Amino acid sequence: MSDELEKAKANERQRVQRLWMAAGLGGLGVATLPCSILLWETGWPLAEPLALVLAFAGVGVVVASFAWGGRYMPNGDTVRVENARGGYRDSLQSKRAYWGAYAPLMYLFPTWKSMESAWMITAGRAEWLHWIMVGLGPLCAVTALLVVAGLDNPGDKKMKRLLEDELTLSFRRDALNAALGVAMIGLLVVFGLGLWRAEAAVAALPGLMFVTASAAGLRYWQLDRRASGG
Amino acid sequence: MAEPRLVIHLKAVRTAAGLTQQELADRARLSRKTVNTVENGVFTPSVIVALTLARALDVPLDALFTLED
Repeated sequence: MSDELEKAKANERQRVQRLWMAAGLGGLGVATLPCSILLWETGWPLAEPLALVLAFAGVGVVVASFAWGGRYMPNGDTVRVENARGGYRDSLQSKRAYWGAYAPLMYLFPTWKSMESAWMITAGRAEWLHWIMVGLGPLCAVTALLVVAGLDNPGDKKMKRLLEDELTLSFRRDALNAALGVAMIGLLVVFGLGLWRAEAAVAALPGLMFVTASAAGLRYWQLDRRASGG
Repeated sequence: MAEPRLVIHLKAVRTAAGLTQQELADRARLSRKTVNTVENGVFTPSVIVALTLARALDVPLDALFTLED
């Protein structure tokens, strides 16, 4: 405990020392103002522009000393923290969680078209458009899962650093576990459907992918909301 | 022998220091959610996060977390 006390005392000494340095710097800046007036009055060649430069430099030094010294006021740390742009990281993480929850709504229609196309293909009544549409559902589901898994935009290191911390990694693990559980139950259902009618099982697969991705996104969102609560 | 239980004193230490969750999060460069979930016992932090919190509050680690039988 005495070490901590010594450390606190040393920090306080350093703060006061720096505050005095800032005050000295400010005093120096103020002192340039009468000097610049005296210089202006001398009537020497180039005295007037030099006096102006000196006066502006003095004002600059005073402003800088206020800014620097403000950091070392007794409440400087609190003021700095309160004025800081807080919660940016939380806000970014929440945006991603919301996206995970709302994305399934956007993917509902493509998934339905995908299931319909899969049914037409397996029934032997497919046109060229069905072959394109059938890929939409799986594509949407994979995209949603990639976002929850944090594998989207892997090159953006700054965003990754902001979005990913231990807590979000634990959310991700939990969300992907939930998705795995849903996928396993869904596979059992699809297996049963396949025993009844094979084409029904194929048509149900985009739906299963959608439900799996939605489960991951919703679980992630739920965890994020719970963590945001006070 | 019963499993030891983790007791978290983070909230008490933080409020004693006069800091909000956001202020502590900013000091420790963590998200507020991390601070909140650790305080509520929802999330058990790694040693690195625990030490970061202790350093941000300028207290030893066992002032924030203790084990009870």
